Amino acid sequence: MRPRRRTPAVLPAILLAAAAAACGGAGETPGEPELQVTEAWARAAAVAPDAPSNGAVYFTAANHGGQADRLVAARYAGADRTMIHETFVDERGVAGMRHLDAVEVPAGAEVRFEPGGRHLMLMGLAASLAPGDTIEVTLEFERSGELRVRVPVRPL
Amino acid sequence: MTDSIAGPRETPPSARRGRPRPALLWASTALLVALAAAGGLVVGRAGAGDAGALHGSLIEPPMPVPEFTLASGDGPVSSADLRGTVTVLFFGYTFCPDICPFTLQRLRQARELLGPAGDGVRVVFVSVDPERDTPERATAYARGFDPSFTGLSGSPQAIADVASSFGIFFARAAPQEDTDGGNAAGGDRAGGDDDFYLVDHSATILALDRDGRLRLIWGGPATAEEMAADLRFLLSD
Repeated sequence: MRPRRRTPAVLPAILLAAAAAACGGAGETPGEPELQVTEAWARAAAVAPDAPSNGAVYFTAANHGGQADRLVAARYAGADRTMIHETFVDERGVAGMRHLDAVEVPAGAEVRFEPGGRHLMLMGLAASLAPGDTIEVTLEFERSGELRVRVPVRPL
Repeated sequence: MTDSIAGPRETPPSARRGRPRPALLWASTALLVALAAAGGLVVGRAGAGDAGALHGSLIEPPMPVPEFTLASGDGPVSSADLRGTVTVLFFGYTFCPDICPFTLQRLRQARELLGPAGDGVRVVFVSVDPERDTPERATAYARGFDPSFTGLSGSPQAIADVASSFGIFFARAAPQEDTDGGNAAGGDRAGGDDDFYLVDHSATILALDRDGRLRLIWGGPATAEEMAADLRFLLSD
């Protein structure tokens, strides 16, 4: 009977303990979220008030924890689809956008989403994004879970 | 057959399945870039004051381009209408969320940096998505950045011809796979993606002189300050 217990029950416990130790690294302020999203903004997206375009959201994600995290999805209720995108320009000078499955935010690092690079693409907006509006976007991180971010809309 | 002089040559399979049209357009882009590079070198060697400090690539001598007529929300606009001012041409599409608005914002800033002289620069946005961008939509989009901006569209053939003559490549991008599936709020992805496609396109910004000839190309992501400096040179050219 005894052999059936073996390590399986013990190993996860050790891993959990290790993870907890990694999270509670020295210098960490209690209560501070490990993953912080700042400088979030969306560009106004409208051709006319009744003719929305596609939208883009930019922000900085800072990981103050001791372990890498990954942005794995994003949602905005007012868009048909919200995708993690990266603008690229190839060797011919042709610009396009590629879909990213995830973006890693290494421990102790920050990752910027900014014009001409990584952004959230709001595809198929139900309504225009007008300057002065604030929208709510949900960012889903692999370790930190869901983060709801208030995103002000900046003028074109 | 004269083929034999080429000797045994293997064509990789990937080269065979290419679409001929984009290949032609790339070739013309390459030609423009080569011309631009050559232009830049000539100017550099000549050591001509201001021109030597240009951020874009000067086309020397200025290159005439074929006449064209496209459509704005206010009616037709032809290449002849673009003479008399320095014209900055940018090809994009109104559903482009990142690089197109980013570029048009920088062009507005560049024009503003020139002060009153900026009135001598006309910014023209040309849609490479004529299926969705009506002339009215293209014009409204461009004016959203700056009321002075011109926005043009046209028939798919007319757009393809103009893009080709300026060495601009564009093609509808393959549908994006949203693999995590969590983002689509009831989006029906079946049967293609007619409403939500993206367009890959040359990010190149072109400047025409007052005679409508191609004079300068910004191939890379020039800042507003860099473009303003180059435009100052073109205005005094």
